[in-house]
Amino acid sequence: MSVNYAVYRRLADLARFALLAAVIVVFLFPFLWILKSSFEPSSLLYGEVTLIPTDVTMAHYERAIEIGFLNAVKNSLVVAVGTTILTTGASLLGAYSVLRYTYPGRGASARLILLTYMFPHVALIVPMYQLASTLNVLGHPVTLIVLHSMLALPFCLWILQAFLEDIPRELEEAALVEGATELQAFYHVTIPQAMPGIIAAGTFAFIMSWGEYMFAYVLMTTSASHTVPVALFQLLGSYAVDWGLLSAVGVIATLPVLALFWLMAKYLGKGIAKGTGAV
Amino acid sequence: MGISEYFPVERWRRGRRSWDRRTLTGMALMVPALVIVAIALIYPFLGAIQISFLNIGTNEFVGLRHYRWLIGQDVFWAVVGRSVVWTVANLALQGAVGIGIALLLHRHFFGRDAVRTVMLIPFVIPSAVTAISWQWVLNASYGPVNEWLLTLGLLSTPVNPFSEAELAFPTVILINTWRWAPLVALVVFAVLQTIPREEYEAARIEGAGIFSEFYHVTYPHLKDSLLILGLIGFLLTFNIFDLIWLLTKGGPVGVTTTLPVFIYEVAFNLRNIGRASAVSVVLFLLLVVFVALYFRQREFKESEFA
Repeated sequence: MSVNYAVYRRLADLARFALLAAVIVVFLFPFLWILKSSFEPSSLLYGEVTLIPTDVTMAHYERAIEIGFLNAVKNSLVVAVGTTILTTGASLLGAYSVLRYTYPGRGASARLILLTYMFPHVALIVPMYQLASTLNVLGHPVTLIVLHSMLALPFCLWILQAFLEDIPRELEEAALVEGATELQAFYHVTIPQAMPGIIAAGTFAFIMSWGEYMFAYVLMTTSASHTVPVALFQLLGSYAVDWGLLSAVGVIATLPVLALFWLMAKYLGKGIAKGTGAV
Repeated sequence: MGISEYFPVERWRRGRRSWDRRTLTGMALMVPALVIVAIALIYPFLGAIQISFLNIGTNEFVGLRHYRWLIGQDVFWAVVGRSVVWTVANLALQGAVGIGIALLLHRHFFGRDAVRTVMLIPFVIPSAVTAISWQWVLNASYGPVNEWLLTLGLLSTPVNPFSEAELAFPTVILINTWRWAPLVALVVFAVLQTIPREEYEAARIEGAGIFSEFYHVTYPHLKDSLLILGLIGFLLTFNIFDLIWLLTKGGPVGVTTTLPVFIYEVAFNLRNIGRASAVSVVLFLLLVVFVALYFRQREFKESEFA
């Protein structure tokens, strides 16, 4: 039995690795393909398909900078950082409020926030556009920051609620006994304890904001205010499709979130698992 | 001593005051989140409801005219059906792929953490980049997939899946699954890690095979998480607009037009914002009914959503 079992185990392991390798290839292939294309001279792009480029050029990246794509990167950074700060702050306070206080309307407020995922966001465009144009904030990052915060808020709230639940109340109470005010206890005890959750929520909000297309497309009306997804998609229409340029721009559009994700992957993974109640 | 012992007014006053203060603090902490939702969701939501009863050009009240219009539209019901197919197909595929990957990762091996991180990349990539890279990869003239399928003899002529009426919808569903399955895998994997080893050992001693083991040991642990994921996933998937729009704009010949895409088209291509808002309100009501039924069916722990 033991020999057969060992063979069986070996085979099962092999099958598992083969499957996993296939999964990873499929998951990474599209990005690796535009990464490759972004360095390939146009003459090769439209010829025979090769996995490794036979010649390398920076021309597509130079062109991307020439057409001012970095301005879109800057806009997206402003919006995404703003969204991250606003969402993380609001959801940290909200989660703390739900867990530590009782007051009339607590459950209703928390449920109200679930509405965010029930209403078709397409339908918010027109009233939002009218509001922004009345307030004269069309094309202003603040408009998009508030909308993106709305989109990220429920999930960040769940993440932070799950993390705050794990902090023993006694820690805060000890600080109060030592003579700290509630605010001091929150700042010096709760926040440091909740840091992994705060990082997870912030990373989630950043990734979501960075990639959002629809609201950005409708509300960032001037080309100077275009965010990365909008500027990227503009290129698909306005030029005779230049896949080298599109690839380079796609790579530039991905690198900032990819870098952030790489640094924060541990927290984000835990945050998503906790936020959905898995652990 | 004395009467104050029976009527401790001072303590009541203090007690109530401090209760009041805590109540107020609790409420105040909720304010920023509520303000965001009020500005970016409630206000435009009420606006959309209002618009659904108006003729947007003249601002005159037209009652249920837009609603009557859409109830009579075969296109509308076709779109509703397509949205259901879209959502169910996505959730089923994401569930199957996600659980499959999580099971592959279940036993520890060298490099598992790296695989777990790398597999999340599709979720991190902006949907606009996802759209462009898949369009390039599947490009009929210069894309690698067509080239390889031609070389292998699986295709006789190059195919652009985004412009073929039968292929476009499945292709978009698969790309969306590609994007979200990693997240399901992540959550399922986290649950799997919490299952005590003894339960598997006990099942093995009783001679359970792989499937019986999954059904009797793994699945009961997964059930709660899958219910929550299913609910969030249903709402998010039903409302997906970006990826579909960026890949196909709802085409060709409308085969990828789900409700959100339909709303966009009615509002901005047909320029009938009143009708579009009516569709949105109906969609919202459908989702409300769905969520209500879901909550009635399943008993959630109070803490999950409140």
